[in-house]
Amino acid sequence: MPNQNPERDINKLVQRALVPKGFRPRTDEQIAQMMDTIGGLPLDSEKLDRMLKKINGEIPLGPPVSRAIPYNEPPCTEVEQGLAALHRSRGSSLSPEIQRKIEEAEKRAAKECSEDQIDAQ
Amino acid sequence: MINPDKQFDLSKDDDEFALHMWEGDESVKGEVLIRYGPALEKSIARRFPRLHSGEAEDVVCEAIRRFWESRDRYDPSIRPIRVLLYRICWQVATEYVTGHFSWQKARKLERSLDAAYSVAGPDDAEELELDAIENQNPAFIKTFGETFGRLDPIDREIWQAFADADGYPVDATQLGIELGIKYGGTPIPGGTIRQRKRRAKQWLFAEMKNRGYDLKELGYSDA
Repeated sequence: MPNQNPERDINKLVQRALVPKGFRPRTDEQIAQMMDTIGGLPLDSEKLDRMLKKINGEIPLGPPVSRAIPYNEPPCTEVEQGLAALHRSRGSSLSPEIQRKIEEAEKRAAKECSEDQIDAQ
Repeated sequence: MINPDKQFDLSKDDDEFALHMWEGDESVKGEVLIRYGPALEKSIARRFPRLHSGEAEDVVCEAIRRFWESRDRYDPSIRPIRVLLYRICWQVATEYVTGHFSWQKARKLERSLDAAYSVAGPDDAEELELDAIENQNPAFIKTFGETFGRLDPIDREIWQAFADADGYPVDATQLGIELGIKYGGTPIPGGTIRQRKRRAKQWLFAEMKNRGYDLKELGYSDA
């Protein structure tokens, strides 16, 4: 048995042992015959859509998002929840605490703005 | 979702496909996918048993993308589209398994499609010889497969990864990381991977000899 590259030789034997006979074609004729014989179940529309998007680069190759590691966000503080609520329901009355924090932030921003203008002159 | 009004024409032959491709008709990608996608996915999953179904799907998608991008090179008189697609799928799959199941790494290993497009040479003499052995003495291959199946699962996967790479270099460090994660432990160092493979090979040679098949006498090396 030829043995110019021992590593390849034994690996070919591994392939023989692990891959069913009809699924390791080498020639074009064998590939065509295998493809014609296998057929396979038609693609459902969801899979077809997903695969076309992958082919067109619209979604990346790789595991679906559900298999990705979840993003661990620290829990919101009460103040943060209040600020978030402000953006969810504009116009509703604010808690005194939030109102005070916003006013302080606005004052600081106005002061920094006026200082920047003085520096620029 | 797919536009339900869009009807792919599956009656086209390869010459018609080629004409539409060369004109830049992107619907050919969908037609090729519908016609050959299922058989390609199934055949690649069987040829590369370490791939899971999602990975086999990705191999097919990547192969059709490369086929589309290289469509100007296609010549229907040399080989049918389905044969070329399988050849490209095979190449993509070897890059993916050599890159250890990372598309980012596989793309860095992306090789030219020259081999897939070139006219096929004569069949490999060694493979023809193995065909003869398989037909005339199937018990040998069966015994080898059974013995291989008794290897430690990690050793089996290590060896299979090298076999799937089909001669292309395998990054033992990356393989150690992948197997470490898969088997719930810490990454296996690259040196340990190579050592485990060597020991697995020696064990398998000894087991085969006990069962009456001296692999060294048959021309194989356990080095």
